[in-house]
Amino acid sequence: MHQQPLIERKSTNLEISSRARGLPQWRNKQRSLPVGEKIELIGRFIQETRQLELVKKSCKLSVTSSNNCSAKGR
Amino acid sequence: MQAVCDVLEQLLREGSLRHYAIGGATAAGFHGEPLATRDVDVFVFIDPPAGALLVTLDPLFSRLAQLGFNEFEEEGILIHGLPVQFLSAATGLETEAVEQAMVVDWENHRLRVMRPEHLAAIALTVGRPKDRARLVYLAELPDFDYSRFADILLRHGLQDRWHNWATALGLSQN
Repeated sequence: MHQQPLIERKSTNLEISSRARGLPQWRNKQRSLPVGEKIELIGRFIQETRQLELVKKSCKLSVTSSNNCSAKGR
Repeated sequence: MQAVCDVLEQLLREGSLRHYAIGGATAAGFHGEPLATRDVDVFVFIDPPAGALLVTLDPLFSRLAQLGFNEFEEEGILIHGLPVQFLSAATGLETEAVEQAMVVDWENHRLRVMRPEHLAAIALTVGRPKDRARLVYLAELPDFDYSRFADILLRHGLQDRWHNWATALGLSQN
């Protein structure tokens, strides 16, 4: 199922004018979500943060593995 | 995440927990916009087993295992796919934050979440760089109650620390 991006970072005139008053539009939008939707968004944030960390860990592992191979002359 | 809230309420109803409130970045994100975090911090009161002096989370984990949640990821137990970290409310401030948590009802669900003023006070006591960022975020929320916050600071002897941090971080002190 297609999901909307968590953070909309399109630079629009509306966002720029909103930022001048304080918060960017996407932050205002997230702050004013109904409770149920906000709770689900928080859950998605946690899931995506975990996925990013897994990617970071696997990248570190592959760099380490590559360095080990180089050190051994392979 | 709604399913996690339902499990917490079930544990409360059946007495596996005496009290609980969601804290940390999840709670901070609830009061504003969601913040990046790896797990859901849940502060709990649990009665020690009869005759024991130490509080243990084992009975809670046993009950969760009976409900089918027995997989751990780092410090969190996975509940409906989300890592939930149970923390025994230790300090007076954490205890008060759990006791005075907001109760939010929606569509037959219920959530107990620490108030922003308590979260800010806890951030002050912990003091990591991310707690400083969280304090700025919380103190700038439109509904942040400075009067309630001042009372909390007074009760827990945190006025001097708040004054120092607010000055360093450029926060309003009223």
